[in-house]
Amino acid sequence: MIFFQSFTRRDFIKKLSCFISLAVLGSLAFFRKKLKKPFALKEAYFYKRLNK
Amino acid sequence: MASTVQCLLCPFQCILKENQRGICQVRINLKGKLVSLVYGKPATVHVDPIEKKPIFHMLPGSKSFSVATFGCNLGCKYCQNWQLSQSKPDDNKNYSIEPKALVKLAKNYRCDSIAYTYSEPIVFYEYTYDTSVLARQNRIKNVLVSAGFINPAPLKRLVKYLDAANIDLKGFTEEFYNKVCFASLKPVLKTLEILATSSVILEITNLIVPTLNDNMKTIKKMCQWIVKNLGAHIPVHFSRFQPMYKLKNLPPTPTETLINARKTALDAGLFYVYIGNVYTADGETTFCPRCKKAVIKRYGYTLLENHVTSKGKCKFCNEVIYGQWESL
Repeated sequence: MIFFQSFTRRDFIKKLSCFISLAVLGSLAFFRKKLKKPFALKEAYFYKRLNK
Repeated sequence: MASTVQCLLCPFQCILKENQRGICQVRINLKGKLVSLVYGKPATVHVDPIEKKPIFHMLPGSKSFSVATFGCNLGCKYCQNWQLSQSKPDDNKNYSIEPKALVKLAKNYRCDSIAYTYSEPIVFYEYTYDTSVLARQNRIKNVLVSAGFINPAPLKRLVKYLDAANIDLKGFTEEFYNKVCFASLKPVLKTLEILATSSVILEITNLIVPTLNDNMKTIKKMCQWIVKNLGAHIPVHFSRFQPMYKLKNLPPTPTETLINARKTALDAGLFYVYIGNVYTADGETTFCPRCKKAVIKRYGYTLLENHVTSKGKCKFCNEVIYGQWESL
């Protein structure tokens, strides 16, 4: 009860902005990993396929 | 159908199931295709004096653009570059430099050569080969610094584009190669023979590890083999071991051991014998095999005097000095 009484509109905005910032940072990290150029994969010059 | 592949690059000839990597950690079977994980992805690039490779008989005093990726097909317990050779490329930061850009960088830094070095250029063979072809077209020399543990076919293909090679002959017994390096001696000797019969300037490095490969009788046998099978003109560098990686319990090689090894090699008939990683009088000097005068004096990686003419002859007696002394 005391908590809700002291939870002002200002506190709500603070928490919301904190949540939005975390969400933005998280998605940026996720897409950075997704969009990161993979290793250039060059086919080896000396190998053979074994059809076992 | 199972998509198993067999790598034919080095004598291990790893048989790899899907998603399995070779012993080198940089070659992987992806959907039945063997691919390199380090093509265009060097872990380190550096401008070094060519003497650091060590290459003493090609363009002394010149700069060499040095490049390496992660990975190695050997597992030497005393590896002096283990942070590079024993790491996976995907666990570390890599640069992104395609062969064309690498050659351009070498030119921008006014390097006369590109050295494939530090770790083991054989495991980044495709990168080494493609860069070497482009470097040759751009009048830049190619230097291979390797343990020489490669199959003859890929080596012969690469040799056409190489100008110099320093091969690390780690010891002269199968036991040393098996127990300390997890490899074998015979393929390395084959590599040396192939390089000695080509136009490549060949030099050999032997890092002497106290108690493991410092037996003078074995060193004598090794030098006699070099004289008989490769030629007395092949330069040999005896290098000092520093406690590293899995052999931190051993002391550095005593200077006397290196001096004894040099004397043994000269007695066996070798013309050019050097001592590396430690300063000794004459250990870095090139002597003319005929007049015995000092034709090139060095201090560490610094060139002090050069009395070899651009035609590769001793200034004092006109004797031919093995090597390549003039730029392309």
